[in-house]
Amino acid sequence: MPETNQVKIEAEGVRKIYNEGLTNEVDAIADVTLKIRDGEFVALLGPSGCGKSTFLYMVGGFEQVTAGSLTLDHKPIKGPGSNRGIVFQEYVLFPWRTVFNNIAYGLHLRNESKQQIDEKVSRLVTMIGLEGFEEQYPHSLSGGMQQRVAIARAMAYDPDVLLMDEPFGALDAQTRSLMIQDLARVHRETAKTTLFVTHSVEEAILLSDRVFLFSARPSRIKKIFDIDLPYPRSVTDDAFIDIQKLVLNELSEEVGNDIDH
Amino acid sequence: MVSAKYKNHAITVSSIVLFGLLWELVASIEIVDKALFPPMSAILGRFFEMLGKGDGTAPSYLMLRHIGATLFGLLAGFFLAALVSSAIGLLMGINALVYQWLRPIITMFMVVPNIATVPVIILWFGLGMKTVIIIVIMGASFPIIYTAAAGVQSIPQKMIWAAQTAGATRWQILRTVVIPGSLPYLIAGHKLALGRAWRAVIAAEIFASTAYGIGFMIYDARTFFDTESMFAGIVVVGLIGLMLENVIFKYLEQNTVVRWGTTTEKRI
Ligand SMILES: Nc1ncnc2c1ncn2[C@@H]1O[C@H](COP(=O)(O)OP(=O)(O)OP(=O)(O)O)[C@@H](O)[C@H]1O
Ligand SMILES: [Mg+2]
Repeated sequence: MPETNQVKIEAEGVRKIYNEGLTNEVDAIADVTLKIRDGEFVALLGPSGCGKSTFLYMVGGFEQVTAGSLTLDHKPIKGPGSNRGIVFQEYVLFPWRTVFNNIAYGLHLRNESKQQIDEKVSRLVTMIGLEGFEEQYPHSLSGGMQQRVAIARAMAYDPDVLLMDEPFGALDAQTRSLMIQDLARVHRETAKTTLFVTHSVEEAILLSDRVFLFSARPSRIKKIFDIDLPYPRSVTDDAFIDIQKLVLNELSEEVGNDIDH
Repeated sequence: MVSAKYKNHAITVSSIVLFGLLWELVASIEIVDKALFPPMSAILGRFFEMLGKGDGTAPSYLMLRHIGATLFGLLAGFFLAALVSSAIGLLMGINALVYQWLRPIITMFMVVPNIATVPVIILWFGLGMKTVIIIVIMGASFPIIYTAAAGVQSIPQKMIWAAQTAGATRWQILRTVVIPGSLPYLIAGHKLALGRAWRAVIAAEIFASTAYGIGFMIYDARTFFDTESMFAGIVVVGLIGLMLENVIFKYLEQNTVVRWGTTTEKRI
């Protein structure tokens, strides 16, 4: 992997308060400081409502930081852009576009040639295993298929950074484990910097180089776990189980804190 | 095998024919004077009579002239309203400030019956087609503005974010997300507006036409106690209305919201 040590994303004392000064003010993130290296796959893990999505949306440029600095390639994030690709938990595909045209969306915007689009999209369609479904509209697909289209759509225009918000949250166990394997493989092939929000400790350890554990709201980074396991990883390996225990212990402390509040 | 579409058409036609037969039956019992409640056969007879060459006392193809005038007023008004009001509605949906300022006014005008504006528009613009078209525009505009704004607001924020992240400019977002995303609402709003436009065109013709138009024809027939012509006019409005709705909207819906699974109506 080239330039693996270069910092891609850097958060320095990032704070987020929604509706500041209003009666419905929410103190979501207290202080997040972290560095994510180019090509790294990191999982953001933490109790519900601690601000994981919020952090992802700030990296996406959809939400502004209240205080602190958040940079991508050493430049402050000012707004959304096509150097990032996002996958939402609720898929949010365009219902009026076919599978093919959903995946091709970013390419159409750039007016790429038909030949180039055909080539890129058909490669992605093969990757997500949806050959033969290119001309279907999203409403006729299962949740798992829609999620795969959303992932392909985010990757099609070749962004530097992939942002994924609990992308496998709504999938059944079997589809989910297939998707985890696929994503791990794709990440090894493309080496894209990936921020992966999840509730599942298992997902986090199966996929990432590092796991960032968020504390309960208003959140900080409570702990960072390095996952040095070789690929392919298996949930039955002893080393996997050891790390899982470690992470689960820390997490349950936070979930406990959350309930106390 | 009979397709579902064919079956639906068959039911539509049968239900109308059945209604006509029922009418004929009730009229033939003569509980009400035939002059006031003419049988359907006489109404249709009058319709075809007016459709054909005149007999010297009435001009030729009179019915076609009336229908032509009404359709022109209706469609000109409707399409002008559609164009302008869709734009205003989309703008309201996109911009919160525009929405806050325009919404009270739109809501106010929405409840004012169209016919209340007719006298003053006649004073401003005189009698004739121009006035008819303006009254139709007034009638058709507000439901379109209202639903277009609601349509934009129904688009999930994250869908806009997904487009922005893929590199879409404001204009591209409008074209590729906002317009198709609000189409289910836009179609519903235009259906409502076409209904309003019909009411407006007939009302306008009653007061503002000088020679042609179905509204004019119905009102004019009153002077001669000609109930057959009056009912012929009403039947024509209903049938053309049904046809327009089926032609314009069914086709549009089949090729957009039904195909995308975003239709606001339950399919039967
Ligand atoms: N647009 C918003 N306006 C106001 N408050 C918000 C907004 N979005 C999120 N919040 C609040 O900020 C806090 C963090 O929300 P966020 O969605 O980032 O949590 P999360 O860690 O992603 O939770 P989950 O794991 O349940 O998805 C929550 O208390 C939430 O209610
Ligand atoms: Mg979340």
